[in-house]
Amino acid sequence: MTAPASSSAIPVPKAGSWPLFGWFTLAFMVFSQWYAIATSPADRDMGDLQKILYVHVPASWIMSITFALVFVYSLLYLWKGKDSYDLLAASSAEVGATFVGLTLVQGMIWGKPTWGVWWTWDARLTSTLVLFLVFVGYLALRAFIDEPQRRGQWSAAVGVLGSINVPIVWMSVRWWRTLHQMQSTPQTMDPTYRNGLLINFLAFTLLAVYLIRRRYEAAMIARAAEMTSQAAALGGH
Amino acid sequence: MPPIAGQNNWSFVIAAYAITWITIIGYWVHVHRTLRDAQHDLDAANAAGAK
Repeated sequence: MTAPASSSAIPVPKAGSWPLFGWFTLAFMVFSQWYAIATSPADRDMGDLQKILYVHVPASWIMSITFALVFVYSLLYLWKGKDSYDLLAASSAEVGATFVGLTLVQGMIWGKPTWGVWWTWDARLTSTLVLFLVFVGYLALRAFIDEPQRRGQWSAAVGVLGSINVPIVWMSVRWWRTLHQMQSTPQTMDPTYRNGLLINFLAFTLLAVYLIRRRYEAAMIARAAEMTSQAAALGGH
Repeated sequence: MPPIAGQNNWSFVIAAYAITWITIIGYWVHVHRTLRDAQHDLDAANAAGAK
């Protein structure tokens, strides 16, 4: 007689205090955006459009760190072969693809009144669009391959190669003459606007940590369910 | 960059913040639904295995 199939052998992360952390993060995001808008006067050149930077720059920051995570976890998966690294890379990629899409749309909304067009094939915009398409492809690839090990290996290879585009996106405004301005960072900003940007960097970082953690939790539970079903099916024969 | 400070661009600012929150809340809901469905599948798989 075989033992009843159970998920006990598969580590399933517990929610713990993460839901509370999530609600705190949402509240902190509302506060940080209110603080940034309320404390920043209209910019000399950009006027009130400057306020878009408080969500556009942190969203692009999240894009960079999530794809850095994809790079690291994909390499770790190729090296160690642990499922958890594959699922962490996939969770980071999904959050990253969401934020790179958001960054593109925010940029278009900023570009229309500033440049007079919604879109232009500028090096920064084009390299960001390529990054978005690569990671949409990464997620599509995962959906098409059923066998977990092969899915992990293929997507890790795409993850590593795709993440190489991140430094190209970052440096594109320096390497080419672009319509897009140089990066706005706390170092390049007037002190009047700095605190608003810093607090939003922190809020978006907390949000990304929360979303990646919960998405990873869901992926681990789904993997445990899949393995438990397989074990039950094998035990039934 | 040409100075555009004199123009009223609040509609663009509001649109940018609206799309930000729609994305955040939309993805938040997606993650929690995925989590709930995965937990449901695991419970069903455990129940089937225990039979």
